[in-house]
Amino acid sequence: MMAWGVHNLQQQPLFGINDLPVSHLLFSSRSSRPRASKLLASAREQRLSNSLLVAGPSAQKVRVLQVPWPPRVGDPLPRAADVWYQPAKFDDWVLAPRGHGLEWQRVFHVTRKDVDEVWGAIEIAIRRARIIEVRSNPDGITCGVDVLVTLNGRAAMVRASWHYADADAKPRLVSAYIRS
Amino acid sequence: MAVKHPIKAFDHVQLTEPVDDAPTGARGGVLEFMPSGRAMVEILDPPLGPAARIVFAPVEVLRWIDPSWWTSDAQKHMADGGHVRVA
Repeated sequence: MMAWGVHNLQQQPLFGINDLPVSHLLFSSRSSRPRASKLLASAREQRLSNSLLVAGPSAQKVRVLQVPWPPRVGDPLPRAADVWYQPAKFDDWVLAPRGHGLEWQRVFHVTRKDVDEVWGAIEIAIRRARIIEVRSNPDGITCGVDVLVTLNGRAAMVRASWHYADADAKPRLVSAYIRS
Repeated sequence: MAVKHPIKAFDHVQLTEPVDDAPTGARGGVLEFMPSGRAMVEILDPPLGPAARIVFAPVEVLRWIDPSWWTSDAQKHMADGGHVRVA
């Protein structure tokens, strides 16, 4: 039986299920070929630009979508399609004067009331971003990325920090500021 | 007698000891308090990379500081450094 999976050419090769920790497996099953096309669609949705569907006799009985973990410099942000934020982080820090609000106001002409537009722009840009810095500690893993953000007809590089509480966590925005 | 200022989320603080990549005296803002009891702090000064600037500090090494140091010249200078183009 052939197996299907998403293989990122710049990452590690496709492994058998027994080679991967549970946290690396988004799902596994003995499902048939239509499930494989769902896998490919999911990969496309996540805009994993270097991914392709692979199949062959060397693969085993499972379908594996590998998420690079722990993240490394040069990787795409793991689970970039699932980024999220806490509203207070924008209201009281990113777009607030005591945080990075003055930068955003001067560069993009946005304030706290524009949080939806700012988040939307970051959410789109992050899917193509590559990690430029990683730090790991007992409270989780923090990744830094640079993204080109366009808002109000203006474009600038924004540097954003994302936190993963554990290997299964979705990336949570920690801070975002104008790259100087 | 010195009065210890209670530290809340989004307060500005200074490190009294080095934490991760941040040296003693580094200044930044408290972003949240973690389940571990440590505070997630974004270091604003000195400038650090986007991951290194996020440190997880014991609250005992945080000293409250007035945020005016940041909301005046420091942040304006940073804003002027943005590479802006009109699309």
